[in-house]
Amino acid sequence: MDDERIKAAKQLQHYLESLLPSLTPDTRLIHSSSRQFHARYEMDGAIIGVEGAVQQVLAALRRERNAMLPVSYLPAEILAKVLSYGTLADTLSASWVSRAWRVAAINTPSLWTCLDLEAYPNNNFRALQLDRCGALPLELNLPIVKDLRSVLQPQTPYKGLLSRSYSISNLLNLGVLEGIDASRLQSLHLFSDAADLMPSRISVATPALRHLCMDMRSCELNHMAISINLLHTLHLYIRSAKADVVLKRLSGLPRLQELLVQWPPDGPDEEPMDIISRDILTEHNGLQRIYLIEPPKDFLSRFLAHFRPASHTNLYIAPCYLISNGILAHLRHQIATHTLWMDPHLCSFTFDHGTSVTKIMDTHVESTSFRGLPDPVGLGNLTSIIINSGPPPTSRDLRILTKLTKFSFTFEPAPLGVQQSPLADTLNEELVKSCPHLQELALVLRKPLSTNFFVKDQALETVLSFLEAWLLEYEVVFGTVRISDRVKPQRWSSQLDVLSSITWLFELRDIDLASQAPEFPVPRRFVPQRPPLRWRLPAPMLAPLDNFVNLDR
Amino acid sequence: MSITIVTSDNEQFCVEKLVAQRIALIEDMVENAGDRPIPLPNVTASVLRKILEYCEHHKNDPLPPYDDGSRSRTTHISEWDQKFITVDQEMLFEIILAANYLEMKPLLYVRLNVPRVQCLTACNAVAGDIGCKTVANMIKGKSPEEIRKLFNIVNNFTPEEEAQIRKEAEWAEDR
Repeated sequence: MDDERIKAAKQLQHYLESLLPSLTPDTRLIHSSSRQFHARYEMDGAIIGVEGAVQQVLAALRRERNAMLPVSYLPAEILAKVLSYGTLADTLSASWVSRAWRVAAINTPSLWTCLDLEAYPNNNFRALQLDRCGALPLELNLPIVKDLRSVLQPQTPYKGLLSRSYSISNLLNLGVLEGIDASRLQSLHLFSDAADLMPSRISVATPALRHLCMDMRSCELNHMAISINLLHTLHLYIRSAKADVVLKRLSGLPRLQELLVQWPPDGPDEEPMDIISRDILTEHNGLQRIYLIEPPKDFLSRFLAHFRPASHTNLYIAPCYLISNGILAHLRHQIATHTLWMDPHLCSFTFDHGTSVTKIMDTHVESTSFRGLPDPVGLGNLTSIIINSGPPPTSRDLRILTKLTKFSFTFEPAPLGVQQSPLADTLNEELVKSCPHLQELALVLRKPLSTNFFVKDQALETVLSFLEAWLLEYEVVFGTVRISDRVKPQRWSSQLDVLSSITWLFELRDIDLASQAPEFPVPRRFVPQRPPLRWRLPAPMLAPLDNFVNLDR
Repeated sequence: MSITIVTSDNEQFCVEKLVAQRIALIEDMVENAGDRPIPLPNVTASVLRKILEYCEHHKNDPLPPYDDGSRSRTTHISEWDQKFITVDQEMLFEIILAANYLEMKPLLYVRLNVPRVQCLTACNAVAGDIGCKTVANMIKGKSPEEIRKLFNIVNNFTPEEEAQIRKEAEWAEDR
């Protein structure tokens, strides 16, 4: 019972207090110096004994106290599940929190299988981790050194580590896999030129290999010394090799689901793609995620012209150099887009197709600056449009979006000297007529960075006249209107009654349009997340025992 | 058809049978109860209300992505779920615990012909994903002392354990 523990603790407190008088007698006997020395020696021993016992009692009391916390509802297995979402550093930190957390962390071998020798090079730490992860397969992140043997041996036989790993990253030299049983290996990250360093006479059987990340220099995938035909994930960092060479090999990877290709920034332009590569791209329908990072202009224009993504293919391109605005529409020709999120300042667009997403960052069009909406061809099914920075599109831009139900945008107050409302070209009678299904408007007024003062604009009047026009046209009040006006919210409050009478719902509240971008799947991570560098253990609660003894020497 | 559930604090909930089955009551309870209310001795009314709210919102969710058990799992939480799980610590831990308790009977789904995928999606998502991810996000990158402060835990190690931890910290920080 709780009461008994508390009762016992109080008894202990009273007992200790009752001993105080006898520990500090009123009169002190005079001893000889040798006897005093002897007594003091015994007193040291007694102090250490009492201190140890008190610390044990305190630890027990604190354990009982912690057990009363809401966090202690969580049993060890759930705590372990929580830690499985974090990094090794989080597990380590948790194992130093309290007895219960330590027990949960230490007794869960799967939390210790990420052996990051780059971040934790200490031999004792490695031994501790290997002890805690039992016989489970390892996720091995190697130190970036040419001679692994000298770093790991004799304490840890590196061949043993490599053969029990299901994932190896930072492998500098493929040659070290020679003679190693790589049948468990599922994920391999080759650092820099490792593929080139592979002696040609060696061949390593990797029947379980599903994920590969490597630099492409001069070698071709078909000369690889490892078996790759069952790959699900391929990340390639193009050096001097042509992307064309890579794409030709994709037909040999029928199970490929994720392809990431990254070119060096400002790399040389590619040779034109030949017809074979174009066919492969068109026919490779299993791909679910494609990431093209820093693609050369020539490669990209051919890719966009020929590639027809399947309805489940997510496509990410950054940055995207286009010859004309119409190319984007061409790419999405066969897939309907339901939601378009865009930021005209950053030239970023995210098209949500329902079963997949196309995300295009940092878009540049050769001929014109890229403002307003992308080419509306293919956007006829759009039901929601979210525009994260101004200026808003005009009602003329929106006139073909007849299915639009939700329209969110950002606008700025009219600049000094301009009398027209910044919304006049957007919220007007033309919009009322061309988008009859519109149900929801979200307007974010953003103060321009360039100036601290501006004239009164007519945004409120424009919104009111739009809503009145809606009422007049359809004889029903408008759906939902949300306004985020951090500059002068009181301007809207004064008209709250009027606004509420011509909408189903009028709200004045903060709106974060950036967070409403459709989610895009993140590519596979090959190298473990680095622990934050970082914290020290706090000072202990009580002075360590040996410190106390040292004071008297 | 609906079922009456009685929580540990004696509140009665009238729940559609399909929804009740989705949150995995003990099979015998459903079969043996007949028209009698089903007791849920480990779940309070406020927690059950939250879990039912979650199941209702997620009842049509597709299959969750394949979980290979590795650390690469994302800790991202969708906007609705984020709002749903913005509760005080006590409620957060109670939701995790209750959902974990309710999830432990996977056989139920097979016998009652409820699509297994839906059942698992709803319950796993509460117990496994959102609650645990929220706690994981709370402790991410924090020092032991910061975690203690966050949950009001006191350091209860013995001097021997402290000494061992000090050694481990030295090894971990040895670059």
